[in-house]
Amino acid sequence: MYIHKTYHLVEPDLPITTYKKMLSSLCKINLRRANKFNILSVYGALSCIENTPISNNIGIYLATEYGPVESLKNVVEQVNNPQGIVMPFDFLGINTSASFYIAQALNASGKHMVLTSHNLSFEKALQLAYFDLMHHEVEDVLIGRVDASLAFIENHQNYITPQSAESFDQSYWFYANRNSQNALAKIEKIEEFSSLETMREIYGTQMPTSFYALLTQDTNTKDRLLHIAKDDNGKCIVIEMEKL
Amino acid sequence: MQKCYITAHALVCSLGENEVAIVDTIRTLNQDNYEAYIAKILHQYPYYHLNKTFTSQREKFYAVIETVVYNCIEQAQLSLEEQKDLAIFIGSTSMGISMNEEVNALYKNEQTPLEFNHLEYGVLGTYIETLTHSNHKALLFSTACTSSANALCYASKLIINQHIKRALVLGIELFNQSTFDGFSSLMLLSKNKIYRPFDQNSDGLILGEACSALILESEPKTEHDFYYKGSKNICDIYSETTSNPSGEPIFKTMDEALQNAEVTLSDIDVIKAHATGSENNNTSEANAIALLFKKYHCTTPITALKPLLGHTLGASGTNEIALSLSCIKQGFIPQTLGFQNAADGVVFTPLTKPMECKGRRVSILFNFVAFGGNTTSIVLSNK
Repeated sequence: MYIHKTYHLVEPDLPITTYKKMLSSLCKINLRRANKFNILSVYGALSCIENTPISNNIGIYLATEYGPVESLKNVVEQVNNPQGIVMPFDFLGINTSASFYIAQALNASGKHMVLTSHNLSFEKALQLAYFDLMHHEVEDVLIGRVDASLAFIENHQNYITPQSAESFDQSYWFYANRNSQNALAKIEKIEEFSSLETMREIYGTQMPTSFYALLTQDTNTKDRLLHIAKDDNGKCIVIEMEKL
Repeated sequence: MQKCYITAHALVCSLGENEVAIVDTIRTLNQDNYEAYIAKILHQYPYYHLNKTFTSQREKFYAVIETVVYNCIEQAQLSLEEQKDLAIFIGSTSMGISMNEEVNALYKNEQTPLEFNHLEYGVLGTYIETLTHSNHKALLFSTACTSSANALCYASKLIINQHIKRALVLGIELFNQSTFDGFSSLMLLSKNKIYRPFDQNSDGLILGEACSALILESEPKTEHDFYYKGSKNICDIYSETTSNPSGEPIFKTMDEALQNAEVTLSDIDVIKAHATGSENNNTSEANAIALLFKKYHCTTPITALKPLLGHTLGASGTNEIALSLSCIKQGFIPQTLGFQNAADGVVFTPLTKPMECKGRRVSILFNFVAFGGNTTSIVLSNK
């Protein structure tokens, strides 16, 4: 699996209008009533593959931990309001529209899905994308990790691990296929461990690292890089890659 | 190549909490008494509710999960060590939104300091990891009505390719006002309150709640265990809420699932249609089935299970598979209750009586179609 393109956006809690404006410069898709999560998803995905030829059979794997929180809050508040009405776009907003909008914007009829695995959502999504690509279920893959800031939720730290962590608007995306030519990096292996101890028996003492930072850091030689992510209970995933 | 068998299945739904109760209820139903039955169960609310009452949404959520998970582990006779090998795959549309509605109501009445029960989706997976002692990190699929079907496909393929030893696939959809009101706002719910997929009097869908689990392993536990033969998942980009009415994308999905399973339509004993009863689904899926019949120059029986369970959305994959396996174990495939006369463009008559299959091995093509164009077909067989 060869990574060819990357894109990342990390911002504080910016208004949705800002992102809609940014998106309108990229495509004409009508997302007037979409929530921030969906806009962040589509904007990040399209930015990642801007000017890149992709196949019609592309797999789109969107990892998230909180999903479309804004629509969730709207809908839940409406149902607890005697005069409340659940609006169709809010309801659809909490029902996995994001990866569909990306597929529609790309006119791609391969597979698309939204995935969650707590602190390992991105790594598990990458694992499925790797599997599909290596087994020729898809021709290329677009893997993203998207979450909108929770800052608008009262006491939002209570829903974040660790509670001290700041909540940002974030949209990270990677485009990969089986072609090594002009690739940025090659994913060699993805391994899952039930505990940090078992992982350390193989990889030694390693600290969790950002996948994006590893991929984009400046190195002079072909490096073997390890991305390690763990959950609260020590379950972890190691992604071994080579910078090209 | 290694196979992937379904060695245990469990379902909790409006029909009952265990296989015996569920199958016994289905056996009593026929086209003549269906309307009286559905009038009775939808009497208070147009929804297929679980029969059991719970003190809170939280209790209900975790209790139904425990019931199906423990039931499956017991059926498959998994040791503690084997449970640790269970990779966990979950499919749901609404996840735990019912708990958020409950907590939010308390918050509005100043009875709790927090606005929501949880915001992170991962809590459900972490709970099942603890319940099963699994060494794996649970993965939740959110692809609307194909969620648990897609979870099953990946779990099966990962076992076949020896990436994992065994898996627990869970589908859950419990009543929540958000989903009910959401479907109502889209004007997709039946007004007549009689579920009639593919029928000329079909006027929409009726939602239901249910939770199911399947254990997947590389070796069968009994000689009749079903195994995964192949599947296909594609995206129909026609519209966010409706399938392409031509039926082409659904046809393509079914056709490629057959090819991946290395079978033809004549090898399939029955197609379990998605059959939501919505006007669009009645048309698009019926057209897709007509295209399939045309391509393979043959027909095969069709059935729909939502008149029994209600539409259980993201959980409908594992729910309808678990229900089918329970009925087949007792020697029959359920008929499409509520069907009387074919709607325009429906070129087939779904099963109007149970299809007896006692002592026979069968292959089934399962169809699932979701909002967001997510379309999945799966071939399971015990032949």
